[in-house]
Amino acid sequence: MSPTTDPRTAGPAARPAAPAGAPVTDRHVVTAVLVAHDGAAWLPATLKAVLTQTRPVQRLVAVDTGSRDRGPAVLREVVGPGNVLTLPRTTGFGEALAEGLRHPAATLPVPDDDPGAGARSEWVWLLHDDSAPAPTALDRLLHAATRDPGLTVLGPKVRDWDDRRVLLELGVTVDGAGRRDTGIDPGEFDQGQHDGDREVLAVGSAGMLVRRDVWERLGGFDLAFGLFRDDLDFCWRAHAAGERVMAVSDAVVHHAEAARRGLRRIGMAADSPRRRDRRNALYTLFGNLPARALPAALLRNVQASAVRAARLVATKRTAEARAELAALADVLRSPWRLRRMRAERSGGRMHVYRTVRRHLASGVARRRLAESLSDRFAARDARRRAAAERRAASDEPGWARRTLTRPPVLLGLGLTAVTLAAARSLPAAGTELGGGALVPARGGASDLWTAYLAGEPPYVGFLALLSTVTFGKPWLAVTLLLFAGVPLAGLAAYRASRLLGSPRRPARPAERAWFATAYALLPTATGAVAQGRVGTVTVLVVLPLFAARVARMTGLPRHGAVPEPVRRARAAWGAALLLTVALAFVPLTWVLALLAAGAAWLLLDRPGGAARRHLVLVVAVPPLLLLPWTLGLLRHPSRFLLEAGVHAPVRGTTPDGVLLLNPGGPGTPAAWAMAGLAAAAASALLLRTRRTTVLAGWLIALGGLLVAVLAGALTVTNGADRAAVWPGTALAVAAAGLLLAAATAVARAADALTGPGRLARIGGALVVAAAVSAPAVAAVTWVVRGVDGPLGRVPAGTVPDFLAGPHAPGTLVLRTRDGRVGHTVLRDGARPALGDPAPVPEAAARRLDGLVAALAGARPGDDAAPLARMGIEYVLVPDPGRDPLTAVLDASPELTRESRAAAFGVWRLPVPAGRLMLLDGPSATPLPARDAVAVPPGAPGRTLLVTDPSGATHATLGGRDVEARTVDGWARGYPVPAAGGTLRLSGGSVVRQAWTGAQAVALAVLLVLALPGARPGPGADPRRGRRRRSPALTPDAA
Amino acid sequence: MSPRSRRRTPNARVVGLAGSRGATALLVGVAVLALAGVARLVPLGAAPEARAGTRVPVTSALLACPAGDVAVQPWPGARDGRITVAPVTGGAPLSDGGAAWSASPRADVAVRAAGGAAAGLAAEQTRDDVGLAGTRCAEPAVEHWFTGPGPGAAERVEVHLTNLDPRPASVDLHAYSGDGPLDGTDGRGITVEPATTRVVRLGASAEGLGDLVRTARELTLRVVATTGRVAAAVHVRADAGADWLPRAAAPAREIIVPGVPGGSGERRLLVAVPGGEDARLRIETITAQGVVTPGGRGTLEAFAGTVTAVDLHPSLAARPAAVRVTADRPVVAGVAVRRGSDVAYGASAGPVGGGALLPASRRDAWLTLTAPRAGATVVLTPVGGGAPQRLTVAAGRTAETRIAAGTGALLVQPERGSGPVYAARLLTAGGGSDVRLTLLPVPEAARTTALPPVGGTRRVLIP
Repeated sequence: MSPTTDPRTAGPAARPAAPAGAPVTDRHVVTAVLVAHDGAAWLPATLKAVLTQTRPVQRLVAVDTGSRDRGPAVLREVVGPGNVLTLPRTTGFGEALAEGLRHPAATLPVPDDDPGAGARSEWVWLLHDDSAPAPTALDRLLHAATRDPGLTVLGPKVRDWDDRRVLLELGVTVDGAGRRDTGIDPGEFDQGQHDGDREVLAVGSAGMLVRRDVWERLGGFDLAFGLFRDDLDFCWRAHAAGERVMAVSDAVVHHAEAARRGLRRIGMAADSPRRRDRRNALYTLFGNLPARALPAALLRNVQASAVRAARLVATKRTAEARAELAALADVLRSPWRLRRMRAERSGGRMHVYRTVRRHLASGVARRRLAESLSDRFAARDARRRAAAERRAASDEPGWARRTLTRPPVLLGLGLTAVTLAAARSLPAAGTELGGGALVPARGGASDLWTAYLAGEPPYVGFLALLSTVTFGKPWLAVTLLLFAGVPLAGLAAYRASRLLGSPRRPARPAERAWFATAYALLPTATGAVAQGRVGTVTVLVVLPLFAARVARMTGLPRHGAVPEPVRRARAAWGAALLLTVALAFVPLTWVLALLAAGAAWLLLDRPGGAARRHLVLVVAVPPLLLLPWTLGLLRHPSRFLLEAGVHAPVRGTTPDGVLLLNPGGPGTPAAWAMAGLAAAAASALLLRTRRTTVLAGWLIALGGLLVAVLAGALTVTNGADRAAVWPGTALAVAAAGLLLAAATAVARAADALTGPGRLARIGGALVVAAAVSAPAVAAVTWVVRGVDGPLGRVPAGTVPDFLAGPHAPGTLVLRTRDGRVGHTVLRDGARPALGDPAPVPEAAARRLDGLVAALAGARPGDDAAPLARMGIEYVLVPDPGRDPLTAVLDASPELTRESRAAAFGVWRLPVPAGRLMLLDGPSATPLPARDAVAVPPGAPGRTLLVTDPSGATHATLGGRDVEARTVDGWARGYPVPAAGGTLRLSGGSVVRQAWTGAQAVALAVLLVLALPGARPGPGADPRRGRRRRSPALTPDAA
Repeated sequence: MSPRSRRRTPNARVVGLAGSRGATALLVGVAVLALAGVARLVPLGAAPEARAGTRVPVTSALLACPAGDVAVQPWPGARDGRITVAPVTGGAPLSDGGAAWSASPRADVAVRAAGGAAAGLAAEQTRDDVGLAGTRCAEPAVEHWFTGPGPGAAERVEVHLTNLDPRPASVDLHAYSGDGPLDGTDGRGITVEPATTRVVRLGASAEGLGDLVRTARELTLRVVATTGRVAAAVHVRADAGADWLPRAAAPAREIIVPGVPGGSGERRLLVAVPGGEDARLRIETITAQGVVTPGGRGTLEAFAGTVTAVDLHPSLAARPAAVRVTADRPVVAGVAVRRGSDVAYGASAGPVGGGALLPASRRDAWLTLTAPRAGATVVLTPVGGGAPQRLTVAAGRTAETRIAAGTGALLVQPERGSGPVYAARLLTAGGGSDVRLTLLPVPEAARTTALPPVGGTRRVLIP
């Protein structure tokens, strides 16, 4: 094939272009270099395209870098063995090109058709084995080169291989964070909107046409790159050398982008394509940017890498995240290589930067995010429209009706209705909701966080978290937990009931709804709501989810699909997270879980390996996560029987009730309410099928009952509250077991109801009636009786707000109950957080006990000064009309009555007191309670006493630390010099805050591990032959 | 065995059992029955027994004594401690030490004790001018009850209110007479300045309950300090003789008025029924020969808010006795005694309990001991040393013993295992028809004070 001749020539020298119309002589010699690497799928089409160019190439060198497929054979057949160069598999692209151009086939003499027309210019045309040029591609490229002799690097318009209309790139650029940007939306059809030759930063190496002398002057592609971004680096260097790079839109090349999309296995090196790509991008940037722009680029890239890696970890693509970080590490690890690269590129770098800067992309990440979002929405809109059309065609009911008739929605609405009917006006109580085990939560989420950081148990932390979500109002969180707890428990049970059926007989919605209702209306649940036991309600919601996770983790039920190991591990993490929440609220659940894990391990024949690891994980992670509190639990084992909130006594626990799953107390139905459920579960023992389920259910039930009976017999002391344990949680677990057994019976009975045999029908009807009676009786009793129990409205005026002052005086609140005087100290005119008082050192508690006893027993003596030294200035008695303490306090010579209302009576001690007291000999004066306290000068030997046990732990005076002394046997005192000064107090324990931060991080990690992750992109698996267009998931789209 | 080939097979025994439905049902039934048995055995849901409070020794005492012959006696064996006797209005202390003290101050004194000497401190005042009048020094409190004659039957009835605290006190007087409660705006809001004694004469002013009270023959007075606390004493000057009214015990359904002296003269029991409901009373006298019901009557009807007077003379037959009043509502009682040329007043009191202390007196005394329920043996130990004397009182009997003048302070202690003992002391001066007497109660020495059980809890914030 001879080159077309033209009378006129246009050569590389700056000769003016020939006038239009005059024939132009083609004075170019093009050497095409085709690099093939396992590209047999695309080679035939590529070769055909190259060999059928309208302007044919003069030389063709094919370089095969160790292909293992039919590629070399095809090449040898088509091109001829003399033009094929075989290189080792580990050869990089740049090296392959260099070797190819050194091959004799690249320097074959080409006869000159028109020797007198001027010098010919040598061109090198780079081709990939998956880049097929359109027939006119080379012609158009050379045309552009001829028209503008200053152009030395030209690139074509690249379109997709599969979908010939889709435009991939027309010139490539990069942004400051190393992202490859083409300026073209993914999936964009080529309708000529980007047409027009333009100067760009770089063109892709597929179809790049470079003048040979420029190529040799620049040294070709950097061999160290290997693959990816070598074209970008080359073009940048070309710019630095003064050359111009242009993308020619008339020339079209169809490129499959096999390497970047992972369709081709790259044998060059072991590291992942993503890592290599990123590393090369970093080298390109850092090598080519001037020194002045380098630090900013370094910082930006490090930050971008970190953000990208975090996002990949969050979407469970850990391998890609590792690649990302490894690439950064590679670059940072070898500064000498960078220095060498920069030395090689030192010429013209500053100058080119100004030119190149306008080509650099910006806002790439934002654009990509917007694109992916609009993609998702567009897909969803399309689906919805299609579904709507389908529905309109088939006359299905509307969206509202369909949603409302779904069983879970009906279930949730029904349970909510029952709860609201029972609770009547209580959900509207707001901050006044309290009673039983619940102290009214007045204050904000920040108060709860402060309390948690000061040392309260972890359930306060979880409640603080929930309050932060509910607009920062703890009362909203508590109201939600208590009154939405029953519907949520029902929904959780409905979701878990999916596992009840077998493939042959799946659980029907009616049975699942019965299961969920019976679980949600257990006596434990209604009793917990009436007694303000937020902990028990939370555990009831968490329990079915936990059971479902454990079932998936252990692979039970056997007949279902066996979950993959990854899903099992995820289920284990999820179970650990749920058990952490349960442990924080009701520690007994962890003990039950431990026993259940032990029993399961024994009964399942001591499995080892992954199963045992998962069991250990589920049981060991929760205590570790809540660590300092767990140590307290282990030191005082009776605390395992307490639950979140105040330990209030409950009357009404009877042996018969406990056996029938009724813990007794306010809010629970009659003892026989669950008898129907027990009967149904007992009838399940007679079934022939599903025996494992029934036995497992009964085993759980018996174990739970045993724990309930033993726990209910114990009396636990929490501070001053001494009461019997309410066995609600253990009974709920036992009830869950019975429900499991009864569900089997109900399923069988439902089948019998519709089957033949009158006896079977009657039996089935009886069983179903018995099973349904339990939730029905519970619901009716609850609605009729209402939540009349301890939970109620605690009037807000019980603790007046005026007991505050600049020195933050403490208020001692006293109440006589059953002959015993209870006391607590509120500081800062306080808004008390719920639950136990902040942990007070033993010595302080004992001292306060003695002082309160003396005060309440009217023991003559001076109690005012010791009370003032504990920071107390006011004494408050709620409900003074009925409390005998009122008379005693009235008679006390040390107290003056400040005010007396129906809701409270306040007395004042003669000595002013506050959070910070200055002790000067026997006298104590309060100082303004600020973090920076100015102590006036005075006598030597004074001490600043911190009366709040959870207050400041660290003090500095004039920049130096002040050593704390123990005053009065319990309090922290800081010696103050005679000259006075400003003492800076820093409160809270830094250790505690750091630990809380660590706990938060650990919880977040646990959550991430438990959630299902993003699936890897469909184009990433090289084993799949099909390619799917998902530009958002290409390695570059970060 | 590689992990993969080691499939999890259920335990063989469980499989064997699971195969038989009857066996499993039976097993489950047995387990449930066992659980039921356990549930009945253990104390499920039992309310824990209430924790008792503690008793701590008293370490501070405060008493107000009117002017006269004052005797202060600490409990024997009290180590360390200080007793300071100073005038109520302030000034130099008259005594500052740890030992017993007796003198005759001209002004009212305040006895302050701190330390070990404060436990069981006893102080008494007697004065012999119009008649013999004596009283145990009063401790400041919020409420005091007195029963005795009213201005209708006595010449002068004065209420002495002493405020020993640094803040002013405000006192209300509530009175019940033979005709009913004396409700009105009078007698309210009497202010007593710190470190002063305020004497309010009943019937003479609005504070003294106004004119209403002038006709009352019997009076039960309730002195209530609405702010602060006061030590109260009531001095009655009758047509013949004078005496202090002893403080009566708080209203109760069963009360004992000990120490009704024997001999001739009027013996009248005054029972007041505070509140708004009538009461049915059962009155018995416990004499040395046993329990006698005066008049043989069963129950006596007493109206609400009134003081009912009952003549005890016939049933007593000149014997020393104690009176037991049993009612269906809390009542207060006292006794008015007339003998010779003097009057004496007694009131309901509590038992001697762990021990009582009689300060030294230079007058003859008669100690009356009553054991209403169970027999008791009482040991009288002179504080200054000497042989203790044992006195046995049978159940439902009253015993009387003479304590000679100059015996010194006496410790009265029931032996272990004795029933409750009620005691009173009659001081006499002079003799024959000219005898002057006063009746002094013997209260239990306050050596320990009961402190209620306390505990720190957030439940105080929840009703």
